[in-house]
Amino acid sequence: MQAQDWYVLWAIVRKEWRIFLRYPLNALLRIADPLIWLTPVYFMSLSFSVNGRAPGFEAFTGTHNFLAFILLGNIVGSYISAVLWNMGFSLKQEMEQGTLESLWLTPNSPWLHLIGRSTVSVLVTGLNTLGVWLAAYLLFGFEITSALGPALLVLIPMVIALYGFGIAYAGIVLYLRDAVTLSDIGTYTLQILSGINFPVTALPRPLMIVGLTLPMTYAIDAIRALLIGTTPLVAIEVSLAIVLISMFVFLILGRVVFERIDTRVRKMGTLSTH
Amino acid sequence: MEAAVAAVDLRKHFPRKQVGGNILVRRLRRYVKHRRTKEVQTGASPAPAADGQTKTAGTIEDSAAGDDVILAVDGVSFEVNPGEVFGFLGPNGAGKTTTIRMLATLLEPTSGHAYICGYDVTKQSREVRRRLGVVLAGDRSLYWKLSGRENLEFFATLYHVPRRQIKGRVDELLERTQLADRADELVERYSTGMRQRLSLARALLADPPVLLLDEPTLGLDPQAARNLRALVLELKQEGRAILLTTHYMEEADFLSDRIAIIDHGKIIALDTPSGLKSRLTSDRVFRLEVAGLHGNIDCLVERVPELNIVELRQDEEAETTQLTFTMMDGQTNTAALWQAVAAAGLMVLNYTVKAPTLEDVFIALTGRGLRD
Amino acid sequence: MTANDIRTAAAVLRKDLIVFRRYPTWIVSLLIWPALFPAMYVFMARTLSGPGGQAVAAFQSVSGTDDYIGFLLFGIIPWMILNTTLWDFGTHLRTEQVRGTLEATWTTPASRLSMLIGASIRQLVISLLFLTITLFMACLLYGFELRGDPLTLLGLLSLSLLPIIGLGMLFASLILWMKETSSLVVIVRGIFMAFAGMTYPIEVLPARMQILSKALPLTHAIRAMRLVGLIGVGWNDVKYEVMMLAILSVVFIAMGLMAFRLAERHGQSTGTLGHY
Repeated sequence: MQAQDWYVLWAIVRKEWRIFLRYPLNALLRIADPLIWLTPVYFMSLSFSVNGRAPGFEAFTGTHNFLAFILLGNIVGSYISAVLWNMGFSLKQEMEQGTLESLWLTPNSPWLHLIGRSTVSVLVTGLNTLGVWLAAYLLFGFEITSALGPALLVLIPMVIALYGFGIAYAGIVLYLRDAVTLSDIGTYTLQILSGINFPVTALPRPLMIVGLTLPMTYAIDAIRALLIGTTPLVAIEVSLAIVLISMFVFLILGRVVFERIDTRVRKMGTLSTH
Repeated sequence: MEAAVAAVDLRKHFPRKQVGGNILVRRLRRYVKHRRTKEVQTGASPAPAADGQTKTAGTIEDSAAGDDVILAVDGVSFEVNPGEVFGFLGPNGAGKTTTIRMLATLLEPTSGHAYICGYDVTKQSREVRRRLGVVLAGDRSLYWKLSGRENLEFFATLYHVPRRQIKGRVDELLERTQLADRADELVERYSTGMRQRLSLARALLADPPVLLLDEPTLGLDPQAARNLRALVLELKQEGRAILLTTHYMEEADFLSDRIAIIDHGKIIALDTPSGLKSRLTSDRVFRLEVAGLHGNIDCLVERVPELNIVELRQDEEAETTQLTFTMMDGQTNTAALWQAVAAAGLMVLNYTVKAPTLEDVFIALTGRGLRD
Repeated sequence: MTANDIRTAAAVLRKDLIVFRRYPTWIVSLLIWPALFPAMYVFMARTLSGPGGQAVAAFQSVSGTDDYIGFLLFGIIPWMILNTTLWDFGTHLRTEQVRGTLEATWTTPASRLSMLIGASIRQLVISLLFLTITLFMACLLYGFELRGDPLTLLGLLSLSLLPIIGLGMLFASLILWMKETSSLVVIVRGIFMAFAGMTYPIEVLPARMQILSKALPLTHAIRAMRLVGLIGVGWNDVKYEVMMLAILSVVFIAMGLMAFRLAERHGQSTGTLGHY
């Protein structure tokens, strides 16, 4: 990357951030929405509890702290949805607005746009996480006391891997030109299969096998084991290795898939939606 | 001198059958597209089409090959020189926009080559984009949630304007496009004309030697359109090569040094506006509206030497006929015309003589009006 | 209502159903979501009940049943119907506005209210279709067993649809001048998701949250259906819920109609009917 590219990247980040702030209700909603989704799960857990302890849950996971369990799963889960929505849906929106063509017309690699977009998405999701964390502390008295360092060591490569996947997904959206349905169903399915609310071992066998092929599953599992002492699926080192390998695989995959589709889209002339 | 824009036998075929996707989605998409084309056309031409058959000109089926392809652009070649405005004139769907998009590196040609300042649009697209300012049709290419200034500053960085020059450059362009006093408002509050000017300002950020303008005055009120045209002429004076598409012939006539008339994806004539007009067999175009002719023009054609019918329109309801024609020797033949009219017992409702317009040229070349 | 009004409503219903059939996303909303959406909660409930069913007794003591899958589905299905109604019916006027057909239909001499009623009936038809498919999927995928009297349940469900339609009308009208209401939809459906007892008996909520729950029609609908469907009681034992539903139906539909009239007047006075 040349100095020029850094300026371009910075301009893209600033543009994305500005637009994010110009929809204040949406910004607020991004913190409220995860809480909304947590509520039915939390109260359902309460209905299976005696004096604040859920015996069935504890037998499955090795922890009685179901709130922390769910919350940690949802934090990784929020990156899944951020990747699919920010890389997919917002790209689709730029297609509809017609701004995507203006971007593609500038003498820059499309990569810069994707990287800039990912950066803001990571930033915003990170802020959301803190917001949700704070709200959970105020509403439910949620606290985590263990050291966060090792957990971040798992989370960061996981997030990079997800955005590598997101770049491939952006290519798919350019091609399909309909991102809403796919992003919606994709997010929900991945969240179920990687066990954001429950251990994957509670899934029916065929689904569990699919879940075990997803690197997110191991990331979520390792983070929980590190922070709240759940019984891990595999040794934490193994999970970390899986996450690191998948980071490289997805970065390469993202690049290859996107490049192929971008060429194809230029042939079809479908960069804008009409 | 090297041409700023050069296209050599440029072609674009779209497959009618799309790969992938669900059949329902495709049908729906085609339906929506169809509706949009219709909307655009009715928006641009209040008069209903005389013959409904050419609704989507340019979507020609290659029936001989039996293939389901749309020949959007079918082998066009032309050059645009620095300091020249080159007009692309043609009805909707003739292939103007497709050509622009290929030159702008947004679309890959099926075959043929195109060069901007000597750089190949497919192989050296980055170099090409550095030298291009593009205004695409419609006002949707800006961020509505950013102000005019923020849009320009953002794109200035993307066009690699040196950081210290950005502010000055943006101010200068805002001034030049008369947006300075509204620069800090969100684009969503702009009028269509303002958005169009902002798009042009954006296209000028990198001070490009080549400008591609796709229907730059579409949807503008007359005053705004006039201002924009004045600006285009200024830019030409600065030595830029400007390729502009339009389906307003007055605009093409006024702005262009040379015009290519494009229809069904092919350039059917390329000349200066006056050169095009001189193709008509006389320097006057006659319009005659009569009653009692019943579409039978033989009585006129036989009696008037070298009468050349350009267009014939019949109003079934009022039983009148509108003729547009040229005559080789206007002065002597006028007498013959009136004699023929008298002999046939026609009632003259209207008669005008005027200098030919590009529309007359277009009709003479294609047999139908630009806006049909 | 005159014969013309009825014909208008019928024509709108017919047109809407044709458009619905031609629009491919119904496959997703009718086939994929009913199968997929309950999964998250069913698997979570399975985890909570424990590998040996240790916690089922705890659940039964607050909910009155040990069939936690059935309990969940009776909560999730009405919520899904609410969700689709808000997205589809709640945006139908806006969709027509964007397409430009709203002005076209509103300039005909037909009663606009009849058109709204026609569209509402369409939503009812689709909701019932959705319900049938979802129940079928639930039996197939999650081992759901329908107990209790089906006719009573159908009656209860039909009654539950009324306030939902009212809410849909409210949204359909609001959107005409707010232009963008997806955030609002997310918040409102979220309130129902969080407080109507979709996945839990509302008794586990803190007392002040229960007050909010009781103002939501869905809470009573879900509760009544669970009582009839899981425990097998008759109309008599859900009198309170039915009464609350009836009252809330009147309230919500009245609000919906009022909003519709206001939106109509607002559009006419500002000339924004054709805007988008």
